[in-house]
Amino acid sequence: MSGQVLQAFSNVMTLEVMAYITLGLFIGYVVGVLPGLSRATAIALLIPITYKLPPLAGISFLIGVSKGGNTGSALTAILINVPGEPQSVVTALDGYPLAQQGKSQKALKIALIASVLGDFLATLALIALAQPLAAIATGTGPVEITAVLIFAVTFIAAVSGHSFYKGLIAGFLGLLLAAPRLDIETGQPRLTFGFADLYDGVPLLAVAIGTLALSEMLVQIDKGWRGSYEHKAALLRDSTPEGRRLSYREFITCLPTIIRSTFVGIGIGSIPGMGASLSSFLAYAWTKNRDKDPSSFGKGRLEGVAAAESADNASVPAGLIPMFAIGLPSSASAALLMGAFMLHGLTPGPFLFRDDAALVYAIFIGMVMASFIMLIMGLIGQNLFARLITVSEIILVPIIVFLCVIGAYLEGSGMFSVYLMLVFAFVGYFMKKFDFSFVTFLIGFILGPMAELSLRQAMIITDGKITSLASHPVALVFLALAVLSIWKLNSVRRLQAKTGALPEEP
Amino acid sequence: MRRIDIVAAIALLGFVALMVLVIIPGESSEGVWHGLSPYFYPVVMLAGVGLSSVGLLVQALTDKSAYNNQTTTPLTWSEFGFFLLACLLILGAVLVFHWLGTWAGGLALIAALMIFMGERNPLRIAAVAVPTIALTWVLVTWTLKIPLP
Repeated sequence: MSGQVLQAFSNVMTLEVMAYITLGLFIGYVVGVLPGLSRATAIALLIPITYKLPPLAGISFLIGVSKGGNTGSALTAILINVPGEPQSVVTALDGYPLAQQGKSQKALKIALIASVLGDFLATLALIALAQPLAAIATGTGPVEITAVLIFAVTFIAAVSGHSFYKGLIAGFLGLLLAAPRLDIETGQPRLTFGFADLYDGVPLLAVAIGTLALSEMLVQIDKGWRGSYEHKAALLRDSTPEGRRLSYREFITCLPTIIRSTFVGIGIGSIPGMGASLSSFLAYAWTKNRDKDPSSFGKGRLEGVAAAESADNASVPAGLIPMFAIGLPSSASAALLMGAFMLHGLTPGPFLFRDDAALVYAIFIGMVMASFIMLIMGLIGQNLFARLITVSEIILVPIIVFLCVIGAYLEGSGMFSVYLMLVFAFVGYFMKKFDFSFVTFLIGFILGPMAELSLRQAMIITDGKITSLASHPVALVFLALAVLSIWKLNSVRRLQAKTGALPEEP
Repeated sequence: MRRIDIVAAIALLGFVALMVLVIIPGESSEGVWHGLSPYFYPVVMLAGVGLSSVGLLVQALTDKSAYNNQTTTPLTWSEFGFFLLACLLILGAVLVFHWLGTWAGGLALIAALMIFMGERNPLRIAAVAVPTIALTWVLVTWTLKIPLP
C-alpha cells in the first residue's frame, strides 16, 4: 500500500495535475460567486472538457470546481445577501450584517478559513473512512446491492424536494431512462426507436446539461431579473481598518465552532440526499443554542459565519464517501462526478480500490492539495471575485446557454445530443416548476445501469422467489430501512408541508 | 399545486399505460412480462412510476391540508408564454448552428437571447458574442482538437 501511496503522490505532484486542480478551483470560485449558476451546473458543462484529459487530471479538475463553488458562494451571501448556492443562506444570516457594519473583509476572511479547514478535515475523514467501508462492501453481492439501491432511491426521494411521491416518481423515471440501450444479455436494441445514438444508452451530458444547466437558464430568463450590484459591492471597499483584519484572537475564538461544525458537515454530508443546506442549518443552530448570548446571532457574529461555512464545505468531501465506498452518489454533484468517472472508463465503488488504488489515492492527495490552494486563491483573489457580482444576467445567461449547446455537441460529436438536451431542458424546467426532484431524477439515471444489472443478477440468484431473501440478511435490513424511510419520512414530510418548513434540494 | 398534482398523476398513469400496453410490445418481437425478458427492467420501473403516481393522486384528492402552505401558482400563463418564446429562440438558433455552423449559430443564439432579455446596444452584444465564440472555438478545436460544425 505504501508503494501505491508514493506512486499516487508522484502522479499528483506534476505541473499538469496541479494546474488543472488550480483551474478547477478558480472556475468553481467564479461559479460560486455568480447567483443562479450552481456547481452541479458547472460540473455538467465542464465534463466534456475532461474527455481528452487523463482520468486523474480530469477528475481532480471537476472536484476542484465542486470545492471552489462551495467556497465562492459565501461571497455574495456576505456582500449582497444573495446566496451563490442554497446552503449559503445560513452564511448570510450573520455575514451580511457584518458587511453592513463595515466588517465585510473580516467576514470574508473567517468564511474562507472556516471553508478551508472544514474541507481539509472532511477530506481526511474521506481518506480514513472510504477504504474500510469499501472493504466491507466488496463482501456484498447483487442481492445486497439491489437492496441498497432501493433504499438509497427511496431515502433520497423522501428527503429531497417537497413531496415524497413526487421524489419517488422522479427517481423511478430516472431509473427508467437507463432502459433505452442495447440489452445487456441479448445485445438487441431496446426502446431505442431506431436511433443508433441510443445503443449505448441515453447520453449522460444531454440529460445532465439539459435538466440542470439549460433548464436553470430558462428559469433565469423567465424571472426577467436584471441586477446590477455595483453599489453593494462598494461594501467591500468601505470596510473600516478594524473591519478589514481578522485577528488571531478572533480566529482562536471561532476555532472550536469550526471543528464542531465540520463534524456536523461530515456526518450529514455523508448521508445520501441530506445536502449541504441541512449541514449548515444544523451547525448554525447548534452553535447558536450553546452560545452564552444566542440573541446576538443574526446580528453579525463571526461564529455564525464560521459554523455555516465549515459545515457547508465539509459536506462536499463527505458526500464522496458513499460514492467511493459503495458507488452511491449522495448529491447531484456527486452523481455527475460519478458520471465523469464512468466516461473515463472507471466505476466508482468498492472495486475501484482493488483495481486502481493508485488513482484513488492520487485523487485523495489532490483533494488535500486543493484545500491549500483554495486558501491561497481566496486570500489573494477576494477583491477580484467580488467584482464578478456586478456582471449582469443579460451577459451571463446567453453565454451559459451557448456553452450548454457546445457541451452537449461535444459528447456525441453530433446534433442528436443537442436536440436531446433541449428535450430534457423542457422536462427539467417543468420538474423545477412543479416540484419534482430533478436531483433524484439525475441520481436515478446515473444509477440505472448498475440497478438493472444487479436486479437481473439478483433475480437469477434468488430464482425470483422472495423467500430466498431470508439467506441475505443485509439485503433484508436495507429493504426494511427502505420501508421505514417511506413510512417515517413521508409522515415527517407531510407535517413539514402543513407547517411550511420544507428543506432544500441537496 | 393540488390541481397540478392531480393532472400530473393522471398524465403519468396514462404514460405508464401507453408504455406497457403499446410502446414496449411494439418495440419488441418477443413480449414476455416475467422472468428476464429485456423488458423486465423497464416494466418494473414503470410499475414504480405507476404506484407512486397512484400515491400522489390519492394524496392530492384526500389530503388537502398538505397543500395549505402552497399558495403561489408555480407557473402562470404569461410565464409559460415567455418560456415557450425563449425555447423557440433557442431551438431556432440551434437549427442555425446545425445548418450554418458554430459561428453563425453562436452569434444567433447569444444575440437573440440578449435582445430577448432587454439588451439593445449592438456593440455590447458583439462584445459579448464574438469573444465567447472565439475563445470556445480555440479551446475546443485547437486545444482539445475536437472539430465543431
